[in-house]
Amino acid sequence: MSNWPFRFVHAGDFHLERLPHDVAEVPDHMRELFIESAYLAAERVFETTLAEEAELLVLCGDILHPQQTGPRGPLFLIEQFERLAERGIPVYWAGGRVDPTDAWPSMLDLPDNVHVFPKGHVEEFVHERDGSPLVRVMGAGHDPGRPVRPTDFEPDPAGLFTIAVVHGATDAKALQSRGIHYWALGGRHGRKTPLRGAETAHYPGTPQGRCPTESGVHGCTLVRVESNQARATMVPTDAMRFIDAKITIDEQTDQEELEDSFRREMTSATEAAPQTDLLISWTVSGEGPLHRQLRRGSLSAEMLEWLRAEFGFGPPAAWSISLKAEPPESLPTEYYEQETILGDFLRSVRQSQMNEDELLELDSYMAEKHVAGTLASDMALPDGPPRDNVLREAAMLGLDLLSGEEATI
Amino acid sequence: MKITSLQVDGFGVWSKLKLEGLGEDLNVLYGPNEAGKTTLLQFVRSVLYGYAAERQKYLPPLHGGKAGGSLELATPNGQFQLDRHYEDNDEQITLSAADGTRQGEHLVKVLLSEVDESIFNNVFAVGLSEIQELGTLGGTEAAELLYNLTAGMDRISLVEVMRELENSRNSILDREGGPCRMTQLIERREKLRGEIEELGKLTRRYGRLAAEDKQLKREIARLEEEHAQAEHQSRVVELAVSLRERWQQRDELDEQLAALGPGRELPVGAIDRFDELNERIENHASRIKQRDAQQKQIKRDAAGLRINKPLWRQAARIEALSEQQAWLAGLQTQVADLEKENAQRQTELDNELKQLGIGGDGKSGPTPSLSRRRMPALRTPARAMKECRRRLQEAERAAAQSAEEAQSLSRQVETAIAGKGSGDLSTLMEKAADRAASFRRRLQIDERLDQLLRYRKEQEQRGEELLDKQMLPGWVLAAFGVVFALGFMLVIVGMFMPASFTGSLGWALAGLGVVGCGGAVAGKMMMERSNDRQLMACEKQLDMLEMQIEEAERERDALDAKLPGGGGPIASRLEAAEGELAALEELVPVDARRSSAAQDAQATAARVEDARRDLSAARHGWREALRSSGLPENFTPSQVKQVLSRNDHVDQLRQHLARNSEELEHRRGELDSLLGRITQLAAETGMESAGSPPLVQLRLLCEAVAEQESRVKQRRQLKQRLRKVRHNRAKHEEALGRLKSRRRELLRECDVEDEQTLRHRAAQFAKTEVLRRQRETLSKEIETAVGGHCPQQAIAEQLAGDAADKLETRWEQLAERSQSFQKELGQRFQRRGQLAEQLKNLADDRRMAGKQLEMAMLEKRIKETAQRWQTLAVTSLTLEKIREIYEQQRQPETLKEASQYLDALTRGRYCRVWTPLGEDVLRVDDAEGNVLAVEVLSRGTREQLFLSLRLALAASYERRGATLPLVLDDVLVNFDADRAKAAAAVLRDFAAAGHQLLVFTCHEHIMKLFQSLKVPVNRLPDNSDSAGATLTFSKAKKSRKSRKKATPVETVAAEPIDVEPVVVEEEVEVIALEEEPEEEQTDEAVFEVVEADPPWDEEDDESDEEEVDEDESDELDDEDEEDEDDYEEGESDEAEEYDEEEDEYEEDEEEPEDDDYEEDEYEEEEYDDEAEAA
Repeated sequence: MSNWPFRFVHAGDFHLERLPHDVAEVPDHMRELFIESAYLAAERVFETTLAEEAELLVLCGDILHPQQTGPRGPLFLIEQFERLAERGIPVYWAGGRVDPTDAWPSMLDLPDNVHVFPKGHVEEFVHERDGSPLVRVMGAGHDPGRPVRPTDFEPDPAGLFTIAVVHGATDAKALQSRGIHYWALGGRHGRKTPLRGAETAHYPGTPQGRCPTESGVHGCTLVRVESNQARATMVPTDAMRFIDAKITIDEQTDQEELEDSFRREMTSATEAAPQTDLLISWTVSGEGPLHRQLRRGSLSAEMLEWLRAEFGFGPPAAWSISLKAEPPESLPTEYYEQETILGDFLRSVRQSQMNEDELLELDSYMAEKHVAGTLASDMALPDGPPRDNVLREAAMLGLDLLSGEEATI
Repeated sequence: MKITSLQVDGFGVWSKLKLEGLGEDLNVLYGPNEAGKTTLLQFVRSVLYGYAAERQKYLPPLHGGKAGGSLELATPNGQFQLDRHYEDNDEQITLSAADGTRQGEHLVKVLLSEVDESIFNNVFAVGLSEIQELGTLGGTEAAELLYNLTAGMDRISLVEVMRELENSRNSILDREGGPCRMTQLIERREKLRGEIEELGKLTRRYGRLAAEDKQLKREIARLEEEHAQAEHQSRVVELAVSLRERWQQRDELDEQLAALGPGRELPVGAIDRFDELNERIENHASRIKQRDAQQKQIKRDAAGLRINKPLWRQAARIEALSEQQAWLAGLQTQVADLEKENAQRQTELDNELKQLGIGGDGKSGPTPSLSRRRMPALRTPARAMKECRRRLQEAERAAAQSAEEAQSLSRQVETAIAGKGSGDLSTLMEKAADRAASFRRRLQIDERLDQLLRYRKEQEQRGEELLDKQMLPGWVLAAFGVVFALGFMLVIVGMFMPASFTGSLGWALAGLGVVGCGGAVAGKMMMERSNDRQLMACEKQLDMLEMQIEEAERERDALDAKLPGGGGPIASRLEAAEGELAALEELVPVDARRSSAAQDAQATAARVEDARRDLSAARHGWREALRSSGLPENFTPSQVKQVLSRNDHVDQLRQHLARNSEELEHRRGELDSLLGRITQLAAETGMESAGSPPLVQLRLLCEAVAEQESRVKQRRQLKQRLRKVRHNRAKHEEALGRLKSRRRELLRECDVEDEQTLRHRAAQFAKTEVLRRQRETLSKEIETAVGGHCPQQAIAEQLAGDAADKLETRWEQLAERSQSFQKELGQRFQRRGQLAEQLKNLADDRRMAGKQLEMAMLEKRIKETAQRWQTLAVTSLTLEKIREIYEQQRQPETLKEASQYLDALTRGRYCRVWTPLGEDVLRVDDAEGNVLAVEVLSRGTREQLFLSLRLALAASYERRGATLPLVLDDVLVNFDADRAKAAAAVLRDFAAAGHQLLVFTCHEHIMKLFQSLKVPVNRLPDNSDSAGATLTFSKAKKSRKSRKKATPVETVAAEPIDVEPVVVEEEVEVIALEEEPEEEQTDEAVFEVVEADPPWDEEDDESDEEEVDEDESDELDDEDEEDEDDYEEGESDEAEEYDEEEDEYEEDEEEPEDDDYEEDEYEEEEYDDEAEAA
């Protein structure tokens, strides 16, 4: 057994089959980037492995759905695996939900340096350097019918550094004190380290954010091991980045000041990531006439068009994907207390908000031929936060329409 | 406002009619058909609002007289008389106050409380025809009172909002299933799904192709293997052909070897070994002879050597003495040296003592002051003084070094910053950093400017393009023109061509033409507007860019003014500034070291002073120590040390002298002993030589012993040599015997008896060996030719039997097979190449990703659209709830009141009238909860409903300050008896609540109904006479109920008809015409006041019946009789309840007074306000 320091790369959730989504409009000059972003980010993971002279690459599942990517996904992976093979770098791959072990196309053979863990039970490999054992890699592919437990992973009796590769979430306490030096976990698109110290558990997240909710920097994890102690460092790989930007305005804010705020936020965002194309979701909170104008739509569209024309063409591009005037969390009490249609309306909406079990029958606004069709499922009011969101929007719409000012639906 | 009297000068059938004494409450006028009731109604309308066109038919009056008339009006502001006449197509209006002063015409509107004619005609002055037409209220204020179902404060049209919501919702998802945005999106999604599914087939195709490729790979491997086998076999056959001749030669050699047979094979090398043994045997025999001769010669040499035995016996002692010969000489030398050294030491000791002055004889001991016991007392102060001196030197040296270093570093810093401006290093660094930052910012501005100029240029180009687009292209204009022309032609054809030519399509063609023309014009305008909008956006963008460029240029100019001039491009100046800053930053550590060195110099100078003080103290201590030791105070430690060192030397000299003397005596004794032993030996061996010194004698003895020793040695050597020769001879004899034995053994081994037989057999074996070598050569050639291609067995199989003759044929077959394999392989490789190309194309296909991206965008749009629809739908749903609440609970006050009247009029059968939110229609709820449209009600019920609405509206207007008389012309005519009775009671109570009612009827039963309710009924005079008439209205006894508020429903609904006879409070006056009163009494019919006599008053019945008989038809008489019977049934109960109510009002007598007080007070306040305003 040797105790040499070494490095390895931990990555997962490539989802090569999944394009960026939840964006209603993609400009022509960014279409190619949207289509290629997942592949570009994945390629950067492999380049990081080569550039850092890593000892091995650990993939923790959800790399691709071979049927949905078409032939490009498997061929891309084979090409990258072969690049690693030329440098003698092995790959240890535990399948996830979309890439179980048996999903790989039978007509394509994986290179010899790729070790795929079986579904539902743990297998181990010992990686050697100059004929001496260097690291022990254990892992299991995801199997919904036969979940793998932390107790299935046994520590090395000789104290060799051990990596456990598994896809899925579990309690951090269950991972603790198992004698596994590094839990290479997968299945989360956000980066997280639930366990630190002599025993580390880490999710590297996806190397490329694919929707506005996956905002911020994404990448893979470079793990440095010295004296059986693992130290994880993030390496950014995303080809484009979703950003949430918030601006607060008040009663006195005018359009010019709002534009200045947008400029400042934009400059701050582009300086933070000078080489990366950005996709920005704007949220304007606060109150005042300008906020009302934004909420009613026409000014929002105008500002969005201005932002896109001003900053959206780069390079690097900072494309504004949406601009939303955030409705207030709650309306003033006097609105609810007034004896008007508006007061009645707001009280009724609040009643619906408080009574989550109240059934809001919207089918009556649909044609009969649609009620039983697929369209009905698209139009059905969901439960939970989306329902609450719709009710909040409805309250604001009612407020706009019934408040006596000119309103446009 | 109330009408107190009415004078018709001339209007329709009426001339010079005067009605006086109209009551403030209910006034019932009875007149038969064509009695002029409707004319009176129209007259009231005309005086109040003018002679509108529809009332021109009443002009000029039938019986002459001045067209028009007047009304006397009682208002809270006093009495007024309104005259309105019509003459020469012109109206003349006069409004006079009670005191005769004329008022402005505008005051008429005030008196009418701004109620317009339409409302008056439809609410206040209605006839049977008007009351059935509720639609005539449309758009009036009265309609608002009925239909405006909104909350009081926000004045928002809920229906309008809901309509907008519905439109928006339907534009997203049409409720009727028509085309809408959502269905378009869903259709697009379905289409995209289909396309993606279609593209997904490419993946399956890729799978098939990849599988085929894998299969091809396996087939190629198999074919390559078979091809290799065929090649191998071909090679084997080819080898067989080429080796066939040598193979046959080798077979012949094998046959020869076989012919020679196996024979008796000799052991390997037997002949050679036999020859070698013979040679060695001869060699040993000659050696034995040589050794015999050598033995004889050695014996002769030994006999010639003789030995001196006494001398040889003392040889050991002589040899021992000879070994001490050098020591003996040394002893003699040592004795001489010691004697000489003793003399020198003595002289030296004497000189030393003399120099120290301690003593002259050299035997006295050392002086006590120089004793070593005193040394510790002197050593401590001496060391302290030495240490202080060393420290002083070190401190001085360090001070000098620090000062020198500080000076050197100062010079270095000053040299480096020389010529870079004034100030210290930190100031210079700050300046350099500011300069570098300014240059950097300047460069950034240049880059930004370049970028902005580039973008402006692009925008300008775009603007030019858009400007070009402002003028539509010729082909577009031509297309629109063609469409327009075609449309125009179609219009012409459709409108002007004869129907025989166009058939039934004429108007359709015209319509199509209009559509075409309109479409062409609209399309052209839309395109022009679109281009215009784009151009404006571009210009706006350009303006913004200009502003940014100007701002950047201003900042650049400011920086240029701030930065020093010259120095080349900004980039090089920035580089120079950064270089200067870096050079200054490098001096920072040097400057720090300079400061540190200066501080060190100061510290070391202080240390020098300290060391000097310490040295002075140490010297004082030293002098004290010398003084205590008895030495002079000016004695230095070195002088003390020198004295001490010489004292030791003197002691050593004395000791050496004593030891040398002792050694000399010892050496002399040894020398004498040795010389005596030499002389004794010479005597014992007979080698004495008189007079010779002992050492010479010893040398002679030694030489003699050496000679004897040499002879003894020679004899020993000869003896050893003889022994060796003997031994050597014995060995040769032994070897000879052994070799002979081995030769015999070899013959036995070869199974021969003698040497001749052996040599014959050896010749035969050599021949066999030659043949074998030839075979081996051939085998090697064959093996070389075969190489590693195949085993020789394979060749042998090919050359065995008859196959050898067919080798060429087989070779050709195998070559053909190999070519066939090669061809198949080529085909497979070609197919694989094609597959690789197809696979590459499929792998590079990005259409699927493009479609998936489009699908993702579409899904997002659907989600957003659905969420928008959900928001709209939830808003609509909530507003629907509110609408229901409003319709149920928040109906207009007017309708609520109307509902009460309706309930009373219909005896509870219809309990509610209401209006749906936002619709100008009415709904009626019956007692069973059914909702009915007005149109489905019977005529009578509908009129009851409308009467209820008029009463409620009048009450509503009164509450709003518009108190106007209500004139109803025969509106109860279609009511059944029961409801007519209820209606009369309702009207009575309505009037009792403070409303003035003028009720005209031509029906006697109605008249009687009113009479039964103690309402005075007046009969209209005959209108056929133009002489004129005056009717003074009889007034009923003012009931306490007159102050009763307008809450008639509860009371009227259950109110029994009063059965008591009507009491005529005031005498009916029959007034003759003023101009001809007497004639009037005779000629004119008497205006009878129709008393409210009960029909069952037998005394008056006769006269009443007579009157009725005169005026009414027989049919009506029958009806009246029936009604009488009906009335008798329940009137007693009604009367009882009525009385009870009267009692209740008596108890509440005080309250109306309070109301009056409040009203007066309010009126006073109003007047005060008006006065102030005036």
